[in-house]
Amino acid sequence: MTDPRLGVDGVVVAFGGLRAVDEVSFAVQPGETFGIIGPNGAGKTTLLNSVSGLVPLRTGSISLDSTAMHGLRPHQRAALGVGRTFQAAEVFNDFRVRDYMLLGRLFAQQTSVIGAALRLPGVRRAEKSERVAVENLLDRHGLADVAGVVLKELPYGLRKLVDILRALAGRPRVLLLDEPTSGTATSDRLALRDVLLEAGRDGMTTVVVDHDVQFVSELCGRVLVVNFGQQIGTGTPAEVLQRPDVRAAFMGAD
Amino acid sequence: MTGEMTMPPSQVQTAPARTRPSPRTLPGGAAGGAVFVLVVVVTALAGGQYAVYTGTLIGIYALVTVSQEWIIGRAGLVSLGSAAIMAVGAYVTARLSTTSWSVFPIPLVVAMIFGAVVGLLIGVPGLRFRGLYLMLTTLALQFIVAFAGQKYQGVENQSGFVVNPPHWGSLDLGSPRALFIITCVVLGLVLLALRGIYGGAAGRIWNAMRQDEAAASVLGVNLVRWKLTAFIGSSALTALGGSLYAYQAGLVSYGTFSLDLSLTLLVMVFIGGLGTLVGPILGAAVIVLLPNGIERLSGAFAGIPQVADWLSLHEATVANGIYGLLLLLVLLFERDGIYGLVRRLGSAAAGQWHRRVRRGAVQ
Amino acid sequence: MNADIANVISNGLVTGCIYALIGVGFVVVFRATGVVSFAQGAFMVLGALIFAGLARAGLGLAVGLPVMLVVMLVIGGVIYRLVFARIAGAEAFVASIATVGLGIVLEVIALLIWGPEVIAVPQLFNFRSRVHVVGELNFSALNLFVMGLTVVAFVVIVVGLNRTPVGLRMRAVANNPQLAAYSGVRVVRTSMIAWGIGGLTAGLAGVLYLLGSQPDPVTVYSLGLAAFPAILLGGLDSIPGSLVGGILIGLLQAAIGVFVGGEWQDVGAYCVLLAVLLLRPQGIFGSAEIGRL
Ligand SMILES: Nc1ncnc2c1ncn2[C@@H]1O[C@H](COP(=O)(O)OP(=O)(O)OP(=O)(O)O)[C@@H](O)[C@H]1O
Ligand SMILES: [Mg+2]
Repeated sequence: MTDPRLGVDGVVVAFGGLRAVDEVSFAVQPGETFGIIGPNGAGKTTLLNSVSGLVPLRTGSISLDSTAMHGLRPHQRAALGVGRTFQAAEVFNDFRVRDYMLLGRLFAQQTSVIGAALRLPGVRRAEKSERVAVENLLDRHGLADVAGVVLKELPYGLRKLVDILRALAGRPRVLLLDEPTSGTATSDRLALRDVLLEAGRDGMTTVVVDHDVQFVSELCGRVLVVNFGQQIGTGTPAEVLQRPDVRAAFMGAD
Repeated sequence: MTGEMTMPPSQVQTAPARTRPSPRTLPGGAAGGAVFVLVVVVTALAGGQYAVYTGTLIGIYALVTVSQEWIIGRAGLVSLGSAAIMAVGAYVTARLSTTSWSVFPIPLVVAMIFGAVVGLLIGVPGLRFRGLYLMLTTLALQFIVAFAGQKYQGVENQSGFVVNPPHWGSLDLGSPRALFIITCVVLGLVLLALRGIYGGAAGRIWNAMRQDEAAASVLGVNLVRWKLTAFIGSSALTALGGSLYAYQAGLVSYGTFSLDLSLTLLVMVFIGGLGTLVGPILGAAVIVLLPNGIERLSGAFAGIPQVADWLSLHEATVANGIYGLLLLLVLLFERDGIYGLVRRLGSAAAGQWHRRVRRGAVQ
Repeated sequence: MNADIANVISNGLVTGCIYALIGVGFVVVFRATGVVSFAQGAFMVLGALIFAGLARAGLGLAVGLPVMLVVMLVIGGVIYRLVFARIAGAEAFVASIATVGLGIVLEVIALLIWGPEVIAVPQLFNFRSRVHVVGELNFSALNLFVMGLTVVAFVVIVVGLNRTPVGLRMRAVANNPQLAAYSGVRVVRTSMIAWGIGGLTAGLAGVLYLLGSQPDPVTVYSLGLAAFPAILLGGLDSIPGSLVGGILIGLLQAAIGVFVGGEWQDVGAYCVLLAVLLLRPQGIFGSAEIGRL
């Protein structure tokens, strides 16, 4: 077997005395869609935050294509190819859809302040072609008519979709999705699923955290179950969901 | 923090459509630019002494407020030290104006460089923190610069350093009208530059940082780089404002650049409205014209001498009180400032008009 | 002990007590409502002017001081209700900027009512009577009064916060306003009390300063800002910190005044502020998270 795209090894994250992530290890292969499920407060978001670099590790290591990442700051990890969506779609409320999509393509953009201040033709041309690329992308997903709408005015499910498209636009090497279906309606879920299935066919490596077991089962070949910060099992969705301890964890939560 | 929040279900599905225009977009640049050029040209050609003088003052303050808005409205950092940074630009200009480096625009450029360096020096310690600690750092800066200025002036320059008028070889640019034109051209260029910056990737990056720093870093934003850039750029432009101020005042002394001036500038930015370039300019204009308004008011009360006398006796204090009150009112009721209010009234009026037209069509 | 050092100690302790009183009100407000208040100076002005008015009307310390304290308690609470309760949810710096506006408005009101002259207050103390302590160290009756009242104020506040239901609620609000609200604490009322305490202690500081010097309102007002180095040194959220920070900065400034020169006093304090920000932003006693405001 080759090196995994994303390797998480013995990761512990603690807030004071609370071990929100406790000795979790898993590996995601290139092109794989990997699921993480667990009841509320199990530590799923914290696990993704540790991959993004938002919380420090107490112990353990995280690697991307066998490059150790856990010493890097969040923006450096993003530059290496860690893409991410947010559980709460209201993190960025004030962007127009088009500008938020452009933010997802930061890596491809001219960020020279001096160049922008002097309105150098090169900078303006680059900006223009970026805008065209984004409009095309929105058009392809039937979102052309909301391109100018401010995010907080979109229905929640649509915001979730925009957030995922924003992350996909950055062409990450691994995409971390935090609860893509939370707060969405069934029809939204179908649209989200289709987008993610298509991304998977294109070879995207994805980690999906979600409460909707059905949704995760449809997308993922393998899932990891966490509870109280600890991993209680990994396997195909069918295998894992059959295990009594997993069922107990979920029953206990609901 | 990021992403840890789950929405209460009641708020999840419904997103009330709001008619209020969202700020932080670039308003019609061509129209705004045309108005700006028109006002400047008319004032330069036809304005009386008072209009030219006041126009220059507004222009200078607008330059400073626009650059302060850069850090407040874009990067979400608040500084109480804008007057101190203006002082740096003013001192540099005063000293250069009496040397062979006095040729326009060398003092302005050097002032900007000094401003940038000071911005870097205070920006670095403030970097690790959000807005409030920067407020305290810059509060300290304010007192330290005033003190250093006083020491620097010493006994022999107690009343201040004289500033020689700007010139181009033998061409004197020091007349009020020339200064007005210089100020407006500089302001216009700065506005163009800022528009360029805010309209591209940098504007989006600061917007993201202001909304959520941690989430922005996950999207690939190097927080240190972008906070510093905002602080350095804004400080350079603030010092540029200080440089123009020195030319207009003709004398530079530490007493001018007090904490009161910093606070007044802050009031201008907030009451004008954050997130736009027009807002801070409006704020500067309102606050510069306010004392004059009070004077007129006391003129209007000429029939009641008690009121008129009281007003003219307490003009400065009353003006101060109105600044403070305006600031409070804006923060309480109209966070987008005067400009936001104008736009809201404008769109409400447009709505009325549309309704009336429609009703007219039906009848 | 030589006379210089004795001077530093007695002057430093008195100034330090005034800083400590400004600071403790600041800390109570900050802990309960998360607002970095720049309005403490304005509350000092109001307290001093109200007290001076009462004293001129013939009320002595025994009546004038308690009346002033009650009035300031009410003013602080009402201001929270009118202004800060409305912006409780906004970004942290919005409320702090609002305190700047509030400070300006209150100062202007004071200036318009009472004028900018030195605040006139009848002699309430025999300043000459000095109490000998040890060596060259002695305190005037006024100094002892200032220090005594400061100690009393701190004892009352610490006991009040730790031992009374009001204090308990205030701590609950400080820790987690949302949770406190869910558990039935009336957050607005509790925050009003915190702001009342902030106004009251600042008013007390203003009066004590007034009794020792003959300041005009603007001087009193700027003392509110001068207390920031002390507040930060102690820790923005620590009540013992406000006492220790106040005394340390008071002593430092007194030492600078005696050994370097009076004009260096403020700059010295602000250099300490910068050093604290760089080296230990949470201050001596503050908690770590505050560093990331
Ligand atoms: N920044 C933080 N400081 C302290 N505790 C935290 C922090 N972030 C998370 N926690 C705690 O860590 C635990 C795991 O939280 P996390 O958000 O990772 O759970 P989750 O599995 O994503 O839950 P949910 O399904 O509700 O999204 C919880 O007990 C939470 O309260
Ligand atoms: Mg979560």
